[in-house]
Amino acid sequence: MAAVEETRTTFVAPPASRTPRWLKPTGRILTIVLIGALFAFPLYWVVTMSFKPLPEWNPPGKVYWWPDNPTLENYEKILGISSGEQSVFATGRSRSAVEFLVNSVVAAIGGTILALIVGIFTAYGIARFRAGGRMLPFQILQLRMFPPIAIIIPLLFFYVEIGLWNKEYFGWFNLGLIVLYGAVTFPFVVWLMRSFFQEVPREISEAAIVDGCTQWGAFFKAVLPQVKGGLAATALFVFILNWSDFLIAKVMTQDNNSTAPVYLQSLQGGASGNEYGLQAALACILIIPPAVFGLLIQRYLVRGLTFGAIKR
Amino acid sequence: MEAHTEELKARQAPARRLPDFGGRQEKSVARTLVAPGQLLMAFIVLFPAAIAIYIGFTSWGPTTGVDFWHAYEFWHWFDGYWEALTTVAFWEAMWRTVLITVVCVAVEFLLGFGLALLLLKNFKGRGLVVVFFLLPMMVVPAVSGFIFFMIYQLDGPLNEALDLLFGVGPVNWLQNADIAIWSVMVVDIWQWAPLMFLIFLSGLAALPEDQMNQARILGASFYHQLRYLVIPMMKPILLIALIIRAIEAFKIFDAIYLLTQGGPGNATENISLYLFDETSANTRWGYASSVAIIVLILVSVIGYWAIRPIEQAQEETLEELTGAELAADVAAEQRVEEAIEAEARV
Amino acid sequence: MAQIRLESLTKHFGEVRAVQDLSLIAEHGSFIALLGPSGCGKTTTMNMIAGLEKPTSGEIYFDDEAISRLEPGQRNVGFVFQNYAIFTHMSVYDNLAFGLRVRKPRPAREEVDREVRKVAETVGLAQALDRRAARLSVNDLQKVALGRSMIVRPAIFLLDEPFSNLDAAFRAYMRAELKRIQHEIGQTMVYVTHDQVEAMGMADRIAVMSLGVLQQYGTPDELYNRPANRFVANFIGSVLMNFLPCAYTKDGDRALVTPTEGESGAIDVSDRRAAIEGREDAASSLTLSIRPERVRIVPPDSGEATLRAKVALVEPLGSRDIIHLRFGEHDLRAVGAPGRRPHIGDNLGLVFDPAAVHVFDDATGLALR
Repeated sequence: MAAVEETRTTFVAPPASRTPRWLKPTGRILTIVLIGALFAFPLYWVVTMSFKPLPEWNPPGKVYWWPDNPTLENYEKILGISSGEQSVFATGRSRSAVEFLVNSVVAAIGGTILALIVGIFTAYGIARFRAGGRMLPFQILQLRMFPPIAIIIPLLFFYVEIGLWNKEYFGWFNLGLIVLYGAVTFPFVVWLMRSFFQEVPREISEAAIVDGCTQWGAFFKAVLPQVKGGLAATALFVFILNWSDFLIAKVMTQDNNSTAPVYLQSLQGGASGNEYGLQAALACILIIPPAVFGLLIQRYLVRGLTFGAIKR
Repeated sequence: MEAHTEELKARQAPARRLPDFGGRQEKSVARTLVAPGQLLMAFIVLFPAAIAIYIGFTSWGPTTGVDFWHAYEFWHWFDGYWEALTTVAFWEAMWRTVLITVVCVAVEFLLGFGLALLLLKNFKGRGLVVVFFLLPMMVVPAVSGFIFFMIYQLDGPLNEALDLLFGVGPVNWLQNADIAIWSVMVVDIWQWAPLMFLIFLSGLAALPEDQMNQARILGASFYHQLRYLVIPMMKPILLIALIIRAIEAFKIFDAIYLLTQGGPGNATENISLYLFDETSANTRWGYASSVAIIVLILVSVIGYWAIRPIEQAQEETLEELTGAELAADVAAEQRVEEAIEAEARV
Repeated sequence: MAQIRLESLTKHFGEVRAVQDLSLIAEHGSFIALLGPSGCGKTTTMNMIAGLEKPTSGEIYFDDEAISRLEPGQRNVGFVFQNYAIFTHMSVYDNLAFGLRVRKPRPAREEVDREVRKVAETVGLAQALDRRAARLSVNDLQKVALGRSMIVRPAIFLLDEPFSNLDAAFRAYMRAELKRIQHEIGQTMVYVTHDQVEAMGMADRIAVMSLGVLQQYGTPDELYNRPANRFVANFIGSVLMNFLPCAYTKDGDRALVTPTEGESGAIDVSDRRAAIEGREDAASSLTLSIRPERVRIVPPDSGEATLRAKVALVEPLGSRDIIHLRFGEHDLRAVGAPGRRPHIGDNLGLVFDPAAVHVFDDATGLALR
């Protein structure tokens, strides 16, 4: 009887319970290093690729694990600094992605601002007054579950009809994209800001109102300053989401009105073949803002991606 | 002192209307606050849904030569829906969507959980490792598709590494119809296992230390601790992570499009790519609308059921928070008491 | 049942020396209290015994077996945490059964059931087995914590301030209860507390610790009557001890100490003469000390009185009064019977019986005897 052995008179150590080998110190470090290397490799590859000259991109039968003749040429071409006439694939056209990057920046920032403006008020209404009923936050969340393509297809017809499709005002202001970006990331703003507003004690706005503010005054003067940090994090987070879009821009824009990710894809295949080095340079440029912002808001990242359900 | 109270009185004196907390004025403020949001939601959900329902009953498209307003000329009731439900390609796309979702989420879950266990104990440089695992999440999905496109090339680094390490011949990662779908999944796993990892790491770190120690003292093995303590205590978090990842995996588009554009053939075409193809390549907008409506209905039904755990977790975290605050208060009080006592004695 | 022997146990957390060179023996079946203010290293010591911390140096023996390399689960100890560490997502039953269910091989269901019911009976939870632990009162949580550790029949029982969260009435009840249980199961128990009343009332022997160093290890009587140093004297006893700086003189064969400030008689400490004269630094000053309970109150004009002091405050406690007195620059305390309660401002004569007086070396804090 294992459970009811009689009280022993002397101490006898029972056998040790086992921890899996991969969690023991040596195995643990090894496993971490191995998985870490696997996870790091894709990034390593794209970064090194962006510094490789054309002959090292993907020659048949040879893999350049490291750029033997590192060059900045790819970046120069992508940023329109040099036209790079020596390319074998040279078709005479410029490879500059500057215009697309500008489109990306404008659309992402515009969408972020729209989502923030609308989302903050909605979030405050929900957090403070339970406006729109108990289910409103979940309806908003459900919005995120729809595959964007299913929503964008009907809007495509609408955009085509009213002439908003592939339309850039002043050559850089893509209103259609901005509205869509704002609408698609709006749920994140609501959920994130709601979780921040919930952390502000109700007394703060009530005190402001007792001191003579209106509800609106209390919101702007007393509550909003309390969630400055959360607001900044939300803004950066939503910017990352908008910046990362490919599908919406792919459907809603064409040619020079596209965003950088769409241009990245257009460089792939086609008549001139893959232009890995150029693409990699553009890819690295595309990775930088989200990586920097992502690290800045590290603390809020999980909260954002889980709609505020998991704090910390 | 007295002057001060006088001043206070004076300030309160003007017979301003008292703020009516919870009253009618507050309700109107609340309505005004959420109105723009509801408008935006209508624009992004109800409005497109209405269009899709309308167009879904027609076989209209840009090649029909008439504009949107005359789409009714191509009215054909449920023919579009019927076509979708009887088309193999649609069902295959559905099946692939489910397969990708299930496999990706399962692998991400296990990988994330394993990593979190690995990194739970603090060591030098842990912070750096955590940051390191953050990076894939930050990569623009289209870019990650492109990166893996390079890696998967026949002459690319993956095949070269396999050759060097195991002497295995080159694998056609993207052109082989049987393999391509798995290659596609790897990208999503690479990108989003870190999210699971982060979620679990914060969950594990929040496990009550004393209870875990108690279990160790009682002789619970690693597996027992997992089974009886870690998993039950983390259940809400695990559920949320699963649901959120499943939602996202269901919608994958960018990475697949950059890797294979749904090919070879349509071996990697999930529902998003299927819809995209019908819209942009085939320009069958009426049919695409029917499919979109089917997908929306399906997702709404699943979504209603899937969102409940998140709702519950929200309430529980609130409860837990207040509980934790109480405990902290008690502990603080105790410390103060102890300090006073200690002081009194010295 | 097991004997615990700590040998030069030391634990450093970086620069912080949590426990230094701690050696003591807890005999089979004895009840030991680790007593000290917060941060004295008592909890760290417990954690080392349980295996939650690895000692920096030194060794722990259970019945002559060195165990500091063993996992916590191998040490066969029961641990009751200060916050009880109840598995709140489980029922009371599952909490109690936990220790058995994680055994290898896993005992049969009926066996677990029988044990759980038996333990529940012992700790008084038989009626609450099906309840969710999250819904229990603090008092019941305490019982669950005890029962959950008891069920695995640990050789050694460790309790970390188990009563600090309880209300006063239940605390008194649990004190008696724990003593009963300890007696019943006859296990070695180590008990961490910062409450000297609790320690005095329950333990067979008490280890008083301060800043990671063991101050004194002995029975409650020893600690109370023969404190090894000023810290212990100060820490033990419910009424603060009296301390007066004093001077040492010799009068023929007799050795005397006399309070240096104020007018008072000398106290004969001839029995400690060797210790006083042989102290480390012969020039260091001395302090005499006496427990308020041992101060005898006499009329101010009595020839017996060692000194006279003025009543400053009387704290009536029912069974006795604590009388605060003013003697020159010093506050003194004495315990009086309520029948003869003095008035504030009265002069009282106080007798310091030489046998009750302790002399401390100010340089080292040690008692000289």
